[in-house]
Amino acid sequence: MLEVKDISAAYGKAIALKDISLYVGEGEIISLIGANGAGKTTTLRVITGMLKPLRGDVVFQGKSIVGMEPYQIASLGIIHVPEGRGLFPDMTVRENLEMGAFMRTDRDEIRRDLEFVYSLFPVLKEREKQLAGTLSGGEQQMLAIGKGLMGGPKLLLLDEPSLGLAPLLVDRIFETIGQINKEKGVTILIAEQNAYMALSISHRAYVIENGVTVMEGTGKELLGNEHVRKAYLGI
Amino acid sequence: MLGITKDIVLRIAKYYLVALILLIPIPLAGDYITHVTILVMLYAVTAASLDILVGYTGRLSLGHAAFFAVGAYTSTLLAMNWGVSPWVGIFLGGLMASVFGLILGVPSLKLRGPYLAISTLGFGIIVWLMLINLDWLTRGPLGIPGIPPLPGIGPIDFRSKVAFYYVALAFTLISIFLLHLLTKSRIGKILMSIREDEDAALSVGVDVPLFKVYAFLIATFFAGISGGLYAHYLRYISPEISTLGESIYILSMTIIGGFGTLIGPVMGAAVLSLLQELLRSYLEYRYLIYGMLIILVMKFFPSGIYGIVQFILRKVRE
Repeated sequence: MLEVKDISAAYGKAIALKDISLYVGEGEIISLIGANGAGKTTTLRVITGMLKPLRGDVVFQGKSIVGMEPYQIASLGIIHVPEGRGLFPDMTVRENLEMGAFMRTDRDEIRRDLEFVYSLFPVLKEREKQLAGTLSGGEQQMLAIGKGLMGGPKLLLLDEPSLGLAPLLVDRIFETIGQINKEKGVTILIAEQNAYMALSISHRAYVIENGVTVMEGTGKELLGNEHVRKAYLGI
Repeated sequence: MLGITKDIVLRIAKYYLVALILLIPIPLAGDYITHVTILVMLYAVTAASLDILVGYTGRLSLGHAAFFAVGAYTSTLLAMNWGVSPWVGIFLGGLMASVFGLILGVPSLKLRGPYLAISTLGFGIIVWLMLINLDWLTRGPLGIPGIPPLPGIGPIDFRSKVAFYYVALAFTLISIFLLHLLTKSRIGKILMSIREDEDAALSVGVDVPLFKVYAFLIATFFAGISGGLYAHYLRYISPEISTLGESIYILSMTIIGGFGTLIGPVMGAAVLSLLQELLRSYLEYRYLIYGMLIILVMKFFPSGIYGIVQFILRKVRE
């Protein structure tokens, strides 16, 4: 479904990615794990068109999307839930969800998706009229994922969904991510520092270090791998 | 497509009906009050249109008076050189202001914050310099006297303040009503999403550059029309209406009134105009006073006069 081929990217003179390649198959949950600054977020930014790569290609459903504008890429069904959540803080929960469905015209489907989001996160329905900026961290993350779902994603990119959340909430969020994948068939690419959580729900994962993919495998394989256990799981 | 339901229209229309009823008897209070109210209304539309840019889209503009002036000069020159009826000319002046809005809006798409503010400031100064230096067209700093009034309809003569007052009233209520609907529409939500977070707006698929241009087109159109009415009302214009000071005056109305509320800038226009009338003898201190007011409002009441009024209403209700 999505293929990232030998992408190199930089912020000014600082090289952030060196020939990264990865592949996401239809219906999969794929994780990018790695330390702070390894290049996970940068990879997502290249996929969404927010950052133009120096070299390499990104192919989505057989078509190269490098060089397209971010809003055009979004309209293909690649929906990004950025780190820091990308909410509209001075708009209500409901308005945020509606903006999530900005590109869509299929009213019935939108209504069904709204119901689905509310069934995943009932607290969002309770807080429908509240400003997004006044929600707690966990609720904001739920809203961010909900807003992403309202875009009717084929591929959902989640950047650090566990960031700043209490452990119990992290479990909840990852459980929901699995549920979205199963029930809606949405393909998901997660960039995550919490390697244990990410690997346990992923079909496959890539380990990124200093802008290079150093390892690839199924979630189970990597959970059992010596290097991963030492460097990312602290076992 | 615009996401405006009949419900919303009716709910908003109520307020405008009340405003209409309250404003109809104003001319009974005499020529002076009528005159001041006309100016307040023209400024109110200009400040409200600026709010679409500043308050809703989050694009600070320090050159809004330039568009007001473009509207005023366009309609004036069309009427005086080509005999175009001001009724048509005022509308064309709005369109011309939008063309200028496009000229400023497109190149400044990628600019944010202070950089955008500086480029709008520069643009305003360019327009002002053009009005001063293209003296074969604009008569330069002398300005243009003897602008024809709005042509009368039947027995109604728009040289009379009272008659003009009702034209301005209709224009003001309709314009602000339309802008109000806009803010409640899908486009309004999109503009707000750009203000909140441009990247997040992009990631839900908003064509951010396109809607920024829309915001410029809409805001400058209404400023241009106000300028046209102003010209045919006072029947004298000069480059003074396009100065940086004027732009800041309009921006002060928007900010002190409460930006991002649309109605706030209308209140701001009323309060600042009245202030200016009251402080006539201290006119040289006006910018000092506006500056201090802006700082005080930003510090203690960031939601402006609108916020204060809402606060009081809430207290009264309790």
